[in-house]
Order: sequence, then structure tokens, then C-alpha cells
Amino acid sequence: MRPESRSLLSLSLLEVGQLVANRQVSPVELTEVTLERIMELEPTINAFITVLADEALQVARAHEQMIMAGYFLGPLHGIPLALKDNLYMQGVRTTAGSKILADFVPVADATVTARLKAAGAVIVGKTNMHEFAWGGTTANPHYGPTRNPWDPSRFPAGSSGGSGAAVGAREVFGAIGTDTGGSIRLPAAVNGCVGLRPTIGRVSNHNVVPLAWTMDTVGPMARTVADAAAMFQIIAGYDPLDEASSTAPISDYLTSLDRNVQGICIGVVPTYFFSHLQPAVHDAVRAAIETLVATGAQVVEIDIANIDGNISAQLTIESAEPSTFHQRWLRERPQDYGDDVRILLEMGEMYLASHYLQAQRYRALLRNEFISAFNQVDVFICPTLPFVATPLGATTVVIEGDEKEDMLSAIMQYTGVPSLTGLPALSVPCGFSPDGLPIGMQIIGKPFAEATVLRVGHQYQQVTSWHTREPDLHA
Amino acid sequence: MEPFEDDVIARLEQIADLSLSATERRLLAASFRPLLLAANALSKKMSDPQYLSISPAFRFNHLDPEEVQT
Repeated sequence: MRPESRSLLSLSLLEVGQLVANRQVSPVELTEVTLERIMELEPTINAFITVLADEALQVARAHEQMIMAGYFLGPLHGIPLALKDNLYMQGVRTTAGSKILADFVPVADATVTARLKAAGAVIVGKTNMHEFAWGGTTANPHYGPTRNPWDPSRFPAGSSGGSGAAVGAREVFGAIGTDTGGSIRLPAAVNGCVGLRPTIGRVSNHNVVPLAWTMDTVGPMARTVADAAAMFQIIAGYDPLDEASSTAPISDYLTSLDRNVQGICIGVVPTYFFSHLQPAVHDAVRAAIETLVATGAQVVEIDIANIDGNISAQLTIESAEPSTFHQRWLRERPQDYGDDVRILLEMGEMYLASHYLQAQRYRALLRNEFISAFNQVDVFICPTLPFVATPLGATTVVIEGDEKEDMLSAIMQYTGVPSLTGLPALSVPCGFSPDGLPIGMQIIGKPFAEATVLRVGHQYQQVTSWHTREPDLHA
Repeated sequence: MEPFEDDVIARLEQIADLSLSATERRLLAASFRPLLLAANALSKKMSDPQYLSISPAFRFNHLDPEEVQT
């Protein structure tokens, strides 16, 4: 790859978007260097299930003509992006990482897909994911595992592992993921990029293959918070095709980024979020909070009395709902699921209705406690997950001492809280382990306060440079 | 709760109208037990009289703007 192409790929979405707007770079050139990078790295990273080379170049040429004719659609115009492969894209196979949907070709876009297309984005491919989004490792038995660009012997987390790895490896300028129990935030953290889980209902789930109806969200993954805000501005907002989407008005997420954090009150729950971590994660997130304090924020320690039930509630709900969706396939084609997902789906059928309803009642209890706490704080900050990327194929993880813990329960310890409470949560790079593996912090906000969580994350990135580091991947 | 025997899973399998292999029954017997213990504990907690007024939190139709605290 030419050095000047590699330097283009190091720019942020907004930076390269400005070059496109100024006609200094063509969407065709951007798409060509993106596709070249994808082809070079895919044997190592395996972030994509489907690469749309010819289609993307065709679209890029059309956008080039539009821009030359004076029609500019905005910061995403002509920018190569990727979609997680559970978002419908008209005429393009949408597998959801599964064998069961391997040949499924939608006749219509997801609303998010359509909005990105209307904004001029160039969709270069559909990214790999944990099968049906029901897992956190992207160890996909049908399309191969995705690998972490910072250390390809390690996992990219999941379920949006392909999107996270593609952004982290500078294969694309941004990607869309989905998040039920942490599936945007976890890969964002371990791949060294930004990921936003929006408030439940803020972004349409129309024509997205569901995992758990009451917890599913769609959100951006990008190199910087500002990039994520630009993508979020396009996809957020009410959708009449998704009756669960909210009519609450959207904000101007980009303009509000530049307000400083003077007076912002950060809540910390030390007894839960900082009690069981790998030391490097603990130190990095604590240091990040101190950095924000140095820029004018304040910290308040908060006790959330009933936070300890959240993992059980999340697993109950996130088991029962997918199992219901998959009932027919699980009986007709059980052999076509990967072993891990099949076992989870079978298990989800064994909870009692009362277990599910009690978990949903607990959800209301936990949400009420957080809403009450927001009378004292503006955001909560905690680690995104308690450990750094584990070796590929690991089903257990060591957090403290020698004790091996089940991967699924361990990985969702901190991401589960916003998932259950429906609150927006942003993962932002905040450091690296001694082994050079990325660490992410999670900024949790009030309902529909994405502007605030994005602003806190952006202001943090104005005084730090973790997000500018790139993995050492020489093709 | 005693460790599950395979027949516990077999009975659940029958109720759910599933068809499992012996290996799957063994895997599920080991995996499901701790989750069931936790779910039972949460159910017991939420059955406490102080929480009687709380209804399930699934909202398929979303919060109205005036319900939103920003």
C-alpha cells in the first residue's frame, strides 16, 4: 500500500470527510484505499463476511459525480463504512453470522441502512459477528473467528466483533454494530475504538435480526467520539416502521460536543464497578476519571442498593427472548447452530415465566435507582469490562488471582447495567495494558442524554491521545 | 438445591417439546443449575412485599417525551 494511502486511512471520519467536502479527496479514491486495506488485512483479521467491492466503487463513483456537481449531503458523504451482518441491506445477503440465514437476501434495507445511504455513506461490506449476536467473542463457527487487530491471537469481543476489529484495524472509517448486553461496547473497548449503545428506542431496530426484543439497540462504532456523534446524528430518531422507537426529539450531537465538562458531576459506584477488575483496567479507568476531574468535572461516590442482581436478570431476559425467537429453527434445524449458541437457546427455554417476569420487575427497580441517582450526578463512569482481550477460543477468563470465571457472565458484568436500565452508554479508549491491549471506559447517561455522554467522551479525547494509536499491522 | 440429574433436564425437555442428545442434557444440567439458582434468588428478592408495587419493565411502546428526564 502506498504511504499516502496509509496516511489517508489514519485520518478520522470527520477529517477525511472534510477532504471530500473540499474536493481534495474523491470518494472513489477513499473507497479504493479502503478496499485495498481490507483485502490486505482480511486473511489476518477476518472482520468481514461479505465485501461489496464492485457495488461500493459504483456507489462511490456516483457520489463523486454528485459532489463535483455541487450536491454535498454532509459529513458522511462518500465515506466508506461497514454494517454488522444482522442489519438488512437490500439485495445483499444478511447472514446474522449464521448458517441458517446464509442465503437470506433481504428485499428492503434496515432503517439504519437506508439513513446511512441517504447521507451518502459508501457501504463497503457486512461485518462478521457472533452467531445471531448471542455471544461475546465473535468466535464464529460458520465464517471463522474474527481476530483482534492489536494482537491477532486474541479475541475482538462481540457480538459486533467484526465491526470493532474493522474500525480498530483502520479498514473502515466507521461501522454500525448492535448492542443487547454489551455487543457494541465490548468490541469497542478491546479493539481500541469508540462505541455507543443508545437509549432504548432512540435508534430504529426495523429490519435488524433480533436477539432480545426488549434490550436490542443499534449504534455507531468509530475511531473518535466526534465520528460516532456524526454517525449517530444520521441514524437516531423516530421511525414509524419501528413502533418501539421513541418520538422524543433528537439533539444536535455534534454542536454540543464542544461544551466543556466544567461542573459535570461523575458518579462512581466503587463497591460494584471497581471491586473485581484486572489491575491494568482498574488503573486506566481511575486515571481517566482523574483526567476529567482535572478538566473541571467532579466525582461523587454513589451506592446503588440493588445492583447485584443485574447479571442474573440480564441472563434470564437475554436467554428467554432469543429462545422464543428461535423456537422453530431450534426444533427443525438444531444441527445448523454452533454448539455454544444452541446450548444457550435450549437453556433459555427452561426458565419459568415467573423467572422472566421477576427479572423484568427487577429491571424496573434498578432503573428507578439509577434515575434517582441522576438527581445527584450527570453521568456514571466505570470500566466497560473487567479484563483485556483474552486468547482466541477461551471460554473462561481470569480476572483476579487464579480463579477462572465463565466468559459470558464475566464479560457482561458492567455492560449489563445500561442494557437492563435502557440508559445510553458510550465506551471510550482510556489506556492500554502492559501487553499493549486496549482498555475502555464506559460513560453512562440519563435517558436520551446521548449529547451529554458524547460531550464527556469528546472532551476526554481533547486532552488524551489513546484514540490516535493504531495497531501495528503490516500487510 | 441438589446438583441436577439428567432426568431433571429430561423433564424440562419434555415440557419444552425439545429433543436433546445425552451430551446436551449433561451440558445443560451443569450450565443451567447456577443460573437457575441465581434466578430463584432474584425471584425471592422481588417477591418481597416492599417491591409489590413494581410492574415488569418491558416497554414495547416507548416513553413519551414528557416522561423523559434529561
